[in-house]
Amino acid sequence: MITEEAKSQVTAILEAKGLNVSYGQSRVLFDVDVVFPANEVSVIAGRNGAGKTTLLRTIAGFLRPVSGSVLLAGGNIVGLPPFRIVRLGVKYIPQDKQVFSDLTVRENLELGSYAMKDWDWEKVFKYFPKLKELLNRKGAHLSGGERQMLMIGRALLGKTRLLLLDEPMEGLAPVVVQNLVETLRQLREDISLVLVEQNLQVVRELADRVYLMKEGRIVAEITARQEIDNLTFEKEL
Amino acid sequence: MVFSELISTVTIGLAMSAIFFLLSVGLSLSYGLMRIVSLDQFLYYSLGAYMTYVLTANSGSFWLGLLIGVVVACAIGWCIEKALYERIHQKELMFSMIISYGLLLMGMGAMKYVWGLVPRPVLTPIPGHISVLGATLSAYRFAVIGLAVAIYIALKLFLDRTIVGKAIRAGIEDVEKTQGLGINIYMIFTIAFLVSVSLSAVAGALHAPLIMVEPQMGLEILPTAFMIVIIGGLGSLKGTVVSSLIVGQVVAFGFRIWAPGAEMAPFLIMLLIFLVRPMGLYGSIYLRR
Repeated sequence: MITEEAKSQVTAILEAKGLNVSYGQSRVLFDVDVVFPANEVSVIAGRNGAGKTTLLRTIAGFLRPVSGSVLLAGGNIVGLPPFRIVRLGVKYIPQDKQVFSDLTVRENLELGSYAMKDWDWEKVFKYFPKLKELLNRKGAHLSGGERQMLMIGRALLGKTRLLLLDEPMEGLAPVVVQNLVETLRQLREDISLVLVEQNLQVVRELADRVYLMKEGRIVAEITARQEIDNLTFEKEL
Repeated sequence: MVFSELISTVTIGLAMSAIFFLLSVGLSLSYGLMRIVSLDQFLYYSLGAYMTYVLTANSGSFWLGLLIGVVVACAIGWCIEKALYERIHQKELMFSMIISYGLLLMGMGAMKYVWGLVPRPVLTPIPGHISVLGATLSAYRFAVIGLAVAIYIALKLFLDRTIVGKAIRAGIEDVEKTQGLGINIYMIFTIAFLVSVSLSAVAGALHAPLIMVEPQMGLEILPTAFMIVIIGGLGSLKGTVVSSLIVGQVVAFGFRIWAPGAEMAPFLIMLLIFLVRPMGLYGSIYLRR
């Protein structure tokens, strides 16, 4: 749980209060409170089934909570359709790394531009120059790393306040992971990031704040640098 | 079978394929994108046919009838999409099947009330015949084939070249991810549904001079249209074209060779295709809700 004192110390870009989420009769999130500050990397960690993805999907509007609120710059976004939440600047990048297989990289970017009314692709290429070479390649023919670049790049179009990344490093080669960590480090200068991440090395390199989840609850919030550096999930979870 | 008969049968088959394609592509689009089984497409098909009957009989203009049929079908379709489908697209398929079947039956009832049970003839807008390699063929059938080809090209350009078309293709693959880009998926649903409705109404209007217009006509063509969608692969435009061509020829040759087998033969073809390709000819493994 987050103390009032801790909350007052940060400028939250997004804040979830008392989130309770169910799949049918089965409750999966219990009174979850989280604060994602501006220009910080927040990491949500926990075992499989802890509710990490559910939390991100609820914030992104794909799941409707039973109760609780999600405040973006003070306004409650619960109940808004996902596309409206995206237009408000909260972008969710799911775990499966699937882009539109039948569409080329160019067409994938065009769709993002059309939705966000932002046709400036240079900022995408600034972070992911390789995408420029792949413009005519279909999504089905991209590697896992290239798909991840496209998904993040596409999400940078338009106003982006908060990027929710669900296990972005999963299944990627170590060298690709290192490149992506570097890119995310640069991105945090402009936008806030929330990562669901299990890779301790990545957590230590990127995280400013770590939420540990267990059985649908936030069991710890870690902000001290030294604690993050000494984090071991075995002990905490 | 002499050569002229062969030419004649192939042409009749192509004209049937054209009608099947126009009707099936709407079904395929609405399932592929919205994940609904829109049996009411057969209502718009019948409505398109009846509008051409009414307008041809009263104004003498078949093409005006076709246009009015599309407009009336779109107006009704828009109300149905907004009032019903927008609320149920995330529910099980059974919801849309039952609702759309109910709409089809209600619509058929209304048509019976307005126009009665007597089958109505529609005069062909392009009279005359064309001789091709010794076979004398109805000019109207060629016009139907030509129009279907033009509509296919226009639809392909729409899906490949326009941003709304690309959003429809993206939505066919993954509705959630399309929303995740910030695209108003409900607007895309409405556009795709109206495209489907228009094509169904055009199919009915073009079919009217080749058959008798009657209230049951939608129900009669329903199994064949469904089979075409399934053979082609749900949501695939290319698949719908190829399967329409196959089924049109199978039915035309079936009637020529042994009429009782003509209706059964396409189902046999469907079973054979499913043994080799369970997703249909061009069904995508990437399709997801």
